[in-house]
Amino acid sequence: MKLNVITLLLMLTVVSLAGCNKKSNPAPDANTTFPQIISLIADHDSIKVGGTEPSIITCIASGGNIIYTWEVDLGDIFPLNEEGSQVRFTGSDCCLGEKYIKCTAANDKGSVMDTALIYIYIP
Amino acid sequence: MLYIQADAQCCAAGNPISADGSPGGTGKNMLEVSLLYLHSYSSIYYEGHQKTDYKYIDYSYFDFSSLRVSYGITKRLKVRAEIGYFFSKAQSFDFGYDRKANGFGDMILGVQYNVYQNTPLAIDIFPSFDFTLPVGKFDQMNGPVVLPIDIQPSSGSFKYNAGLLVSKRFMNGKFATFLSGNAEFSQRINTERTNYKYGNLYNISLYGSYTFLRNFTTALQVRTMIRDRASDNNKEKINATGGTYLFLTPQVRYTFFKYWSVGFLFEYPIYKYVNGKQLTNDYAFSFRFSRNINFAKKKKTLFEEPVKR
Repeated sequence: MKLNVITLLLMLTVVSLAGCNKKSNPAPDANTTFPQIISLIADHDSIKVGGTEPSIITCIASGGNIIYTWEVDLGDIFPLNEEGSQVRFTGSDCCLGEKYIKCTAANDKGSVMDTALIYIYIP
Repeated sequence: MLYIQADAQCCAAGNPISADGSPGGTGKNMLEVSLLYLHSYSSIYYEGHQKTDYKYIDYSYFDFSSLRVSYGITKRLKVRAEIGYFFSKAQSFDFGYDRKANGFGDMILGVQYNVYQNTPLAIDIFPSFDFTLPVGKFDQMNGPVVLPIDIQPSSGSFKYNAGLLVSKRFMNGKFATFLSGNAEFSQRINTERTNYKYGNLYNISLYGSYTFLRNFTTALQVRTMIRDRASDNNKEKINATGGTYLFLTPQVRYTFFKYWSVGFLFEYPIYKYVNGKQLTNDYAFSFRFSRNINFAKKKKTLFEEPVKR
């Protein structure tokens, strides 16, 4: 019985240890203001399906200490700079049609969001 | 006891298919604990049933592990629970970008019942039901970018899976044949961030197993997998999703010290038909390490061999 319990515990430990993660909260900053998106610009508002002709999208926000977050329902976004304010967007055959790319700018005072519309087509 | 497992998926989020098609090694009061490692690799694009030179994702792979516990409540009724963890789920793109995710996948709770047992003919029928809970990570980021659904460790969706397994044993159980089928229905993901529904999934498998030298079991499985197209936030079908696949899966299992076993399987797709152009699976292989624990040692169970003196 002792061996049985040890076997069980060992297997559970292996799986549970793999999921440990640490998160830290940023300290409030007196020099920041509520963020505002000044511009959200895509260099192409329609792109060919595939990876060769991306749309480069740039989001500029004010407020200080801005953290940018990008998301889209279907399609592929990759960051182009360390700040995270510029990304490239492409889509494979899964992602044809209108795609809304969402840029969220956030700091310790709050967050604001805007979307860019890109159309993916088969030439 | 035979273990059969079928795993190979290219780009679906959540745990890969790891339903054990066999009745497994659990009789009444028997607990089976098993640890799985699975590697899957995909790099070939198909259009319809033909290979294409099209490249978008260069290659994609995942390394997955799961812990599964199943317990025989009665001689006929077995319950099971499984939790999955992706050590790595990665995509490398043809245009020079990579992305990775890791973390807990889904949890599966299931029940299987031996509804029909014909001892003289050695035929058994096992209906089953599994419920998938998306307990794992569904918000992984690549720097400032929220990763898309196909690379998130968790599927993000509640799923319901109904299955049926029919087994027939020959030569006192040395040779056995199995026919199994299951259908999986996913609930629409409807969160602030995602609105998506996976296509329904259907599997039909035929397999045979042979036990030799007492401890070795080999099996060969042929599995058809049909996945319907997914639907997007407008509830419209997404063209380049879903398809039909035929897999050939040889496998071997070695049992030692009566209650311990280790198994290996290799899954190879021998036919693929996809809607639109899609990245498809090249191969998958897995190892499973299992331990049966008898909580009714005083009683002789259905699966327990008599002690030789």
